[in-house]
Amino acid sequence: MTAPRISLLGTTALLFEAAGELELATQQRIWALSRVAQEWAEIRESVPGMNNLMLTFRTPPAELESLKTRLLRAWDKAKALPLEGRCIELPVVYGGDGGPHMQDVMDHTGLSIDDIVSLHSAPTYPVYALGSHPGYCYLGGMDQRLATPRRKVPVLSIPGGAVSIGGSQTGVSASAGPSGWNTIGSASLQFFDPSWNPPALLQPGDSIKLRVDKVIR
Amino acid sequence: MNVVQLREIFDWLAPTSICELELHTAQSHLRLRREPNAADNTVIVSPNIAATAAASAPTAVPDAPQLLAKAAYVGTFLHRHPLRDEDLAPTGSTVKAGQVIGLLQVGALLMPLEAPADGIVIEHLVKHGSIAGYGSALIALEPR
Amino acid sequence: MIEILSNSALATVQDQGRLGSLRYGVGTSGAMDPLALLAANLMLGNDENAAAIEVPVFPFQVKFSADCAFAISGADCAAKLDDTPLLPWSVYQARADQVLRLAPPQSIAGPATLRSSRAYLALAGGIDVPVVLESRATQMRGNFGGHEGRPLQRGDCLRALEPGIGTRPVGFGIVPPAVAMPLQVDGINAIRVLPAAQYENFTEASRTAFWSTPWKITAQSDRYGYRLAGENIVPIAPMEILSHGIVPGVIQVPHGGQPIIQMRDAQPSGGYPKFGTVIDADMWRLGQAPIGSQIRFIETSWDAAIAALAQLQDWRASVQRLIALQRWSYGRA
Repeated sequence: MTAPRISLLGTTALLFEAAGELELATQQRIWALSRVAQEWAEIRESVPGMNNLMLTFRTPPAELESLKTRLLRAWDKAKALPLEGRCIELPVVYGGDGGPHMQDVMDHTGLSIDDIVSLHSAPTYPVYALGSHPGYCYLGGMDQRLATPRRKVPVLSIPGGAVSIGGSQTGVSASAGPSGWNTIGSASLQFFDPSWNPPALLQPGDSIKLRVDKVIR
Repeated sequence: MNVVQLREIFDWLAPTSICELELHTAQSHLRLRREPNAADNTVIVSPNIAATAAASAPTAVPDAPQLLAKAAYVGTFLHRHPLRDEDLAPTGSTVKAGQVIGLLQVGALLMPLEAPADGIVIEHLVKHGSIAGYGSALIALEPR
Repeated sequence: MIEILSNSALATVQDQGRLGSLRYGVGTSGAMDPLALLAANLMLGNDENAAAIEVPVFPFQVKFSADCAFAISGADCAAKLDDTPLLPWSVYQARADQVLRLAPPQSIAGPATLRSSRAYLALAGGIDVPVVLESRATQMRGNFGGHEGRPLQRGDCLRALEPGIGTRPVGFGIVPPAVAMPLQVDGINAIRVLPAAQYENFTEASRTAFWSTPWKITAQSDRYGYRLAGENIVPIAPMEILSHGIVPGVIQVPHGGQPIIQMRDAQPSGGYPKFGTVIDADMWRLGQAPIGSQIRFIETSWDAAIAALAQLQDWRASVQRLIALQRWSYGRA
């Protein structure tokens, strides 16, 4: 097994990337590592990503080596933290105006729209991490036959509820905004409210089941 | 002035390179000097932040009557704001009492030099970017 | 306290940013020029993180409906309070019914390297908008924070936390940081960058070009990100990267080869290859770079980046110290 990688995001944060493919067991260790690192004095926030963890600094440490060493040690000790959260069912309309990049995904994967819909709606997707925009969930477990590279030029605005594929990942947008992903369908659900505590509907460890509401060919 | 206030002043000065400080208030006159390293920064803090009008004409400039805008701080005299190309009060311009006609840079601060009265700018007596001592005449004005 | 008179496209209420909700997908927002905001707050004696108005489009006009001290900083906008011309980076006292006007920064003749694009209007005590998720900054994507979670419009009224006739000195200014701490390469404003995770995965020619050629800030640049135009930055091999947390300053290179720098309204995660990250200490420089202007990048190290942060702390401390001294002498007068 190759070693994890630590890199810098300027003096604002540090990025820890676990080695290997995206899988739930690794992600559960990321959640465990996140909980440990959040307690460290120099860390403002510990932010899980997909197979990785970003640590933002309260004050950037004068020297990094001891923090890096501590992080690698904590990773070695981190055991998978199985979070059994709740599961939300989400009806999706695939294709049509709400899925403007379906054709691009068909072209890239060589699959028919029906194959794409059936592969995409089959799993119960665990929420691996939140990011992108308020309340947005990165989901794990997409069938890798659906993997489609991010768009060459990001789209200036996709609507809230857009169901999209970026590389080997998939997700449902929580509000309108720019995106580099391929949108194949649409759904409707409020994922975020700043007055909720916590403000996001879903947390890592929760899951989403996509139900095919309609397919527009 | 009491000991607490003095200590406050010492605390402010400690991390600076200021080696002499003179402070005039209505009731008191304080002068602090530090010897160690030969820094030549002298800062005089005066409660009077408006430019002072001169009672008499300076020897260097002929023609009476004249008004002089004087430095209320030790600092670098600026004819214009560092972000701008144009002087605040070019020679020959008409200015109003209280109008900002120059700036004194004191460390990171920019303190206004105000026209002591309505007038016409005759001459800048200190070059843009030069150090001006406390009380030195900076701009000569012809009153209107 | 103040009423917005202009249809002020994209003026927003900002503080130093919402730094602790990234794990909910909430980006940092906050002032594009954090130093200008800090300076305005220091001049007023405000909390350093008090909220102010960031103005990117001019002219911009507000009317004071009550007496209130205010500070302006950032881009020099030939500000006028009624008919009285004001100096940039200064603090003043407004009376009820006075109108403050900010003109386009291009209307002022000044040194080209000091040209900047965003002005800040701070009010005594800071602007009184609710704190949402520990910040008053406008979260545009989430439609919360700031004033009703959106840019300001004509007719909006904002309150100051400490209105009235101030007891602190006004009428003075501070030396703009761009004057006090210039950074240029070949006469072009420069920004220091720390290489990021995929730096070594770009061709040597691309890496050389990145550091040695000027980059234009294109018209497709805003609070979300700056799209740059210059040499194509080419990866040695195509990369697909798993999504991870990112911060303002991250320089991503999408497949097209033209870099995008993430700015304050950027999303808190991404997956495009990262070439480098603008160091925190230089984000204020970048935040003021006008559209159409050129910038150069300087490769830096962790130690140099930390030293640059310390330089900003020293600048802040010296401004604070002088203002305190001045306030003290004003109190004695």
